[in-house]
Amino acid sequence: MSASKILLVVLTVALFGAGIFFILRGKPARRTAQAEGEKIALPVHPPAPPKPEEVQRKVEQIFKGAVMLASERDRYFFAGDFNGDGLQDLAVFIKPKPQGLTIVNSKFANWILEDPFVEPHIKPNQGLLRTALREQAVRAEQNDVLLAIIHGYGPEAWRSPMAQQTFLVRKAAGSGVYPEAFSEALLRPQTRLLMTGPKMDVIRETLADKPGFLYWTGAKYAWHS
Amino acid sequence: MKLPFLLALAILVAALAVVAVSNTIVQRQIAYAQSADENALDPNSVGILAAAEAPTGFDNQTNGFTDQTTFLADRAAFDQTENITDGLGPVYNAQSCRECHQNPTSGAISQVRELRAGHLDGSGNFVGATVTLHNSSGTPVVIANRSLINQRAICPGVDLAQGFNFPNDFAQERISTAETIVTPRTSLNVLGDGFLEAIANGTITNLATTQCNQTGGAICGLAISVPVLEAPGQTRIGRFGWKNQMSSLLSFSSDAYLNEMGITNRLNPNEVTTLCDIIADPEDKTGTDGLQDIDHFSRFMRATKAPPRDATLVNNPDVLTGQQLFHQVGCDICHVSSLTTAPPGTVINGGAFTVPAALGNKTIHPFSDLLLHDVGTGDNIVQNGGPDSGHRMRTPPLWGVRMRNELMHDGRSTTFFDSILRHGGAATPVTNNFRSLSDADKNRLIKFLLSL
Repeated sequence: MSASKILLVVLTVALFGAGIFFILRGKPARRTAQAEGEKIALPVHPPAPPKPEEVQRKVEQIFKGAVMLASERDRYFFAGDFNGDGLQDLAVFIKPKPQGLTIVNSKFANWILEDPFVEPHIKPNQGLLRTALREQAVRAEQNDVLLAIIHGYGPEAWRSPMAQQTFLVRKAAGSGVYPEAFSEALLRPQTRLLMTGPKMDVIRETLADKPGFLYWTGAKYAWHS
Repeated sequence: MKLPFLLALAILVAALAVVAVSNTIVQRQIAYAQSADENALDPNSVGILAAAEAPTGFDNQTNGFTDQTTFLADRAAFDQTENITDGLGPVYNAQSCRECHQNPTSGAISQVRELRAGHLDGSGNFVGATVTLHNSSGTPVVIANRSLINQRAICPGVDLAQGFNFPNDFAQERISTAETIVTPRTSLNVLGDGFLEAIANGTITNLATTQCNQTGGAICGLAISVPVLEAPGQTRIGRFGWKNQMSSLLSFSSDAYLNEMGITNRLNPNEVTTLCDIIADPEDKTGTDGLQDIDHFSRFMRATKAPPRDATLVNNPDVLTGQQLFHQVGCDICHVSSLTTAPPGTVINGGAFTVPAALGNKTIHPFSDLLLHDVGTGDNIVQNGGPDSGHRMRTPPLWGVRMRNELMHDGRSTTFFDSILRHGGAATPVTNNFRSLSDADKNRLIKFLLSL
C-alpha cells in the first residue's frame, strides 16, 4: 500500500470521527433573546398608480383565465391600503367568464368569496366538520360584477408576484366608487364598526341608493352605510 | 514502519472522537439534570436525551402530575359555578372556568368569544378602552385603559324589589365610538398546558432564531418576557393567551379569575371596578387544604393530558399524506409538530415551580412554536408584549383544533380552507405554497388538520 493511500485512509477515518462528533454534538443551546425581523418592508417611494396593463397581468396571475376585467365601468381599478398593513393593495372589478364561473365558485379556489352584508355563520349541520370539503357560504353568479381586492406583500406590494391573497366581494359594484383614507369623519354617525384599526383606506361608493363604504374588519370586507 | 504508525494514529483519532462524543453526552445530561437556568435549556436542539411521549386523552384522567382523586377534586373546582356571594363580578364573562374551556371535556375549548377594544393614540400606540359605568346617583365610574370588555355584570340598574344588592347602579360595560379597535377573541384550550409550561425558555428562543435563519428573515417569531405573578420581579417567556401574555399557569389562573370572573385573589387583589362590589378582597379564600381556587385551577391544568388525535383519521392514508404536505408546504415552520419539555428538576416560573417527572422530558405535539407572528390577522391590541406585538398573534397550538368550528383568534373563519387563506403577512410564502397544491392535495392537508 502506498503512502498516499495510507494517508487517505487516515484522513478518512479522522474525518469520519470528527463528523460523528459534530453530528452528535448537536446545536448548542442559545441564550439569545427575541428574534428580529418579520417586519413589514415598506416601499421606499410612494407606489405609482396602477396601469391597465399591469392590472390585467395581475388578474391573469390570480384567476388564470377564469375572469375578465369589468372594463366597461368608469373606474374599474384603483389602489389603496385597504387592510391597513402599510402596503398598497389593488381593487379591481371583474366578471366571471362563461366557462370560469365554476372555477370562481370552486371549493378549492385560491380566494375567499364573500358577501359584505353578511357575517359568516356556522351552519347547524356543519357540526364538527367531518369533511374537508369547503362549505361555500357565498356563490357568484354568471352576471355578477365582483370586486377583487388583492393584498400587497413586501416592498412591491400588490405588484409582487408573491401578492396573491385575494378577497372576492359580491354585491360591491356600486356607483361613485373611490378609495378614501379612513378618518375620524367616518366615525361620526355614532356607529360601532367591528374592525382592527383606523389606519386602512376604505372604499367609498353608493350601493342600492345608499352611500357608505366597504372596510376591512380584520377578517373580511364589510359594508357600512 | 509508517503503516503501523499511521494506522495507530487513525485509531487514536477515532477513539478520541468517540470519547469526546461520550463526554459531550454525559456533560449535557448532567447539565440538563442539574441546571436551574431554563434559559440555557433546549432539549430539542440536542437530540440525545430520550424523551417519552406525553399522555393524551379526552378521558378525564390525570397525566400523573397528581393522583386521580386529587385530579377530580381540582376539576370540580375548575367546573364550580361562582355567584355574587363568592365574589363574582362586578363585571365578568363567565361563572366558571368550564364555561370557556369545556368542549368535549373540562379544559378544552368552547364557542365563547370574549371582546377586546381600544384605540391608537396620536403616536400610533395602542390604548385600551375606557368604559364609563354609572352609580345610583348618576356619577360616572370609569374603567380606563383596559382592552378586555366584560360582557356581563352583576348590577343591572333595577329597583330594590328585584333583589339586587345595588339598586340603580349600572355596571354593564359598553364601548364608545372612540374605540376604533373592536375585535372578538376565541377562548383557548388548556388541556396539556402543563406540558407547554414545562417548555424551557431556551427552546422557544431557539425556535425563533432557527426559523428566522432558515427563512432568511421572512418568518421570525417574537418571544416576549412577561411577569411571573407568583415570583415578584421575575419574568419568563410568555406562552399562554393569544398574545402570549402569561407564562405560568398559576399566573394565568389568577388573571382569568379576576378578569373573566371578577374574583380577586392573592396575585390580583384589586377589583376592575368597585361599583357594586360588596365582598372583601381578596375574594378567593384559602380552603381547609391550605389551597386557594387558583391553586386548584393551575394544578388541574398541569395534570391534564394533551388533546388526542382523532382515532378514526390518524392512520387514514389521505391524512398521512396531508401530514407530509403540511411539512412540505412549510406550515410546520410555525406550527411546530414536536417539542420536548425541560428535564425533571428544571426550575421554572422565576423559581416558583420545578418541573416534575410527569411533565419533564416529554415529547409533545402542539403544532405551535409558542411565538408571536404577524400573519396579517393581528388586531393591533397590545397586552404584555410592547408595540411590536400589536400586529402579532401567538401561533395557536393546533392540537384539538378539530373540536372548533370557528377558527382563528377571532373565530371569524368557518372553514379550515378559509383560515389558511387568511394567513398573509409573514406567512405569505407558505400560503402561496398551499395555493399551488392540487385540489386533491389541498383536501388531504385539510383532512390532516381535521385529525388533530
